[in-house]
Amino acid sequence: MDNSTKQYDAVIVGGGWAGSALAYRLASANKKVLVLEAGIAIDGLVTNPDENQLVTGSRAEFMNDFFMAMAKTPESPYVQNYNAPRPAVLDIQPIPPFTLDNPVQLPAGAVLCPSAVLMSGGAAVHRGTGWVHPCVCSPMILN
Amino acid sequence: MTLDEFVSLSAALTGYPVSTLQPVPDTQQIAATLFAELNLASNNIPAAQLDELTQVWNSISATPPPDLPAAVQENIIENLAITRLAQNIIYLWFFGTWYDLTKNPNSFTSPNIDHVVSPLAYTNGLVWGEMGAHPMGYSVGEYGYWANVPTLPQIN
Repeated sequence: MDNSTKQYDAVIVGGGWAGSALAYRLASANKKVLVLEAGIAIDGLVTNPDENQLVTGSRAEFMNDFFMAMAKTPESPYVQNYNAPRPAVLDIQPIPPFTLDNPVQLPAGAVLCPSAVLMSGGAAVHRGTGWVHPCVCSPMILN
Repeated sequence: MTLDEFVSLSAALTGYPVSTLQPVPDTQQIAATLFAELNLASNNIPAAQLDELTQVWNSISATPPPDLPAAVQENIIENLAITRLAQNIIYLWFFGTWYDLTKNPNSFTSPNIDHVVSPLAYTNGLVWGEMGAHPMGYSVGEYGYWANVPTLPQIN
């Protein structure tokens, strides 16, 4: 069967919390759904940062990466996935001074709120830090 | 410095007995793993500093136990030439981490050669038992242990 001829009622890009819940509801209503997911999986496929190849990662390997990290953040166990880059808490930088000549450039998909820049993506992978929202008083931005 | 000298010095610096730092049988080999850090070229430990720490320790290691803490304080902790290296040995045991000797200890300036020695050295760090806790993601507690009041070791 030629996959290119398949027909779907809905195609969902991203199998995170929202995408998975939506796919469940649609499937429950007898809709044909395709979920496209680029993220890593525990005991599954991860992206090798050196060769950009898919390699197998076990929970023990993820934990060893976490133990070896000097700054232990929610992202420490997981290698960056170059198919679907995600923000990390250590990427946070102060927002440069805003002037008419130097407007603040936000990354695609980022949302500015009074104290932080929120970036979506990767929330289901590392437990909710896809939205990086530091509890600080000064304005911050994700690089 | 030999491994035996390292373990006996570590006992004096941490307050934990040799039988805890290097149990028999020594299945985790933490003492040997941490000792290897002292001989790691990339850690840039001045040879003279390591030699002096070894000599000073050997000169006071036979001190009667009641007087040993004072001897360690006077000859090692208050000796500016070797106190930083002695601190690093304490950090090794408590945190399983090596801190850059040449870095300002009060600075987060990068780059530096701070690094966790090994996953086993980290999870076996003395700090966890010291505060009645365990490393994130690593626990030997039975199911439901989190409902119990944490217990602190005798050393406190």
